[in-house]
This record gives sequence, structure tokens and C-alpha cells, in this order.
Amino acid sequence: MNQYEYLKELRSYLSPLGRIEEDRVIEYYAELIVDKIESGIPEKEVLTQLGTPRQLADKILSETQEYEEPQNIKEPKELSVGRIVGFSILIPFVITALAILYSVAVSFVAASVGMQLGGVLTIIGSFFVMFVSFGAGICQFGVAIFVSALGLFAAYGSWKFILLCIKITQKIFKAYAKTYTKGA
Amino acid sequence: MDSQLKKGMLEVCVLKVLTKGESYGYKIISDLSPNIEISESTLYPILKRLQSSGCLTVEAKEHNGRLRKYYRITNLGFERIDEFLKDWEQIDKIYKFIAEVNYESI
Repeated sequence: MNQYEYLKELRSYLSPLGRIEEDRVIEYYAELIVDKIESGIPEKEVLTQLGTPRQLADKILSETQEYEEPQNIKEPKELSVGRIVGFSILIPFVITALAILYSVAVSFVAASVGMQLGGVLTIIGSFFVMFVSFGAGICQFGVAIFVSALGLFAAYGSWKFILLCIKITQKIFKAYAKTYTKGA
Repeated sequence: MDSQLKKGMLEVCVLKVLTKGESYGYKIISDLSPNIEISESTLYPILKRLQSSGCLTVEAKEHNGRLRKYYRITNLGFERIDEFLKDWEQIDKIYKFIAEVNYESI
């Protein structure tokens, strides 16, 4: 293994540090290795002295942990690849779930429009019925008012439901955006 | 030795090396190594902390066609050494106290 392969492998273990710190650490060790080689120590011996990349990475991570304020250490992102794969497999299901959600919303809207429209027409109709039979007309009038009121409730309900659907969609899109941008 | 205590002292050791002029990672280790054992992985967080506390500044300069980071002590760094030496008088008293108690108990 030469120094470049060594540093590449070392970097692969340093992701808990975050990208910026990872770069700094690699810069530091790259400089050190070259300086040692320049001073006459053979490359192979320099790398042997540092230990395997895994051993050195463990040392670096533990030193960082005990030396620095805890808030500077980021959570390991080891699951990011698994997260991307898992999220991708879920896409068809997510789309189906959203489609169901939105079709329910549409039927809510249709029901509320139908009830209100039907209610209003029935109210108008009830006046004509009143000419024939006053009792039947009043009865129809009452039912029509009830139906339109129900339609108004349904309108309010479907408005809230649509807002909920939008919120859920936004959350799902944000989760996906986060996974694909940060995890990659 | 208690690792925090040792790290605190190593910070001052690094600053002391820098009082002789700006230096870089490998040279700092080489200058310290005859007397004080310090590994590459120990030096890195020490340099980082000294930089963030303002005890030293870092400048990348060209050397043999590549960039090398040079560390330079600041006034705050000098103050830090003075503080350590003052603290040491206290530590010395504590040491004598502890040592004395031990002798009496034997």
C-alpha cells in the first residue's frame, strides 16, 4: 500500500467527523507522511509506524471524542447507503399511499359540492311542492336545509383534509431530499 | 498519568517549541520527542485546540512544490505559558503537601 491508498482508506473511516474535519485530518497526515519520507524514512516504514488505517482512524476518533466538546462530534452516518436504498424501494408505496390520500380528498370535495348543490336545488324545488302540498313542501325544505348544512361541514372537513395531505406530501419530499443530498 | 493533565501540559510544550520560531507538524514532534513522547494523533487535536483558543495561528506556505502548514505562537500563547508556570508553583505546593502526608503515614 502506498501513501495515497493509505490515506484513501483512512478517510473512509473518518466520516463521523464530518466532511470539513475529515479534510483537515487527511491534510495533516498527508503532510506528515511526506515530511517523514523527505527526512529519509522509507514510505513503507512511515506507514507501518502509523499503524493500519483502521487503527489510526480509531485513535483519531477516540482522541477527538475525549478532547473536544461533545457538540462538535457528529453522529455517525453509517446507515446513509441503507437509507437511500430503503427509501428508493419505498417510492412506489409512497406514491400509492399519496394517491389514495388525494382520491379520498377529491371524494370529500365532490361529496360536499354535491350535497350543497343538491340542497340548494331541493330548497328551490320545495317552494313548488308547497303549492301542491304545504306539509310535503315544508318537509322537503327542512331536509334540503339539513343536507346543505351537512355539505358545508363536508366542505370544511375536506379543506382541513387537503391541508393535511399537503403537509404529509411536503414532509415526505423533505425526507427524500435530505436522504439524497446528504447521504450521497 | 492522567490524560487530561498530560494533554494540558503537552499544549504548553507545543507552545514552548513554537517560541523558537514558527514550525510544522513533523518538526514539532521531532523537537519534542527527545524529552517528551507525543504521537502524531495526539498532536493534531492539540494544535487544533491551541488554534481555536487563539494561542497560535496557522499559515500554509509552499515547500518543495507542496503546501505545508506552519504554526506560529501568538501573544495569547505566550501568556498561556506564563500562566502555566505560575500554576506550577501551586502544583508544586500541592505536590509537596501530598508527598509529606505520605511520608508521615509510613
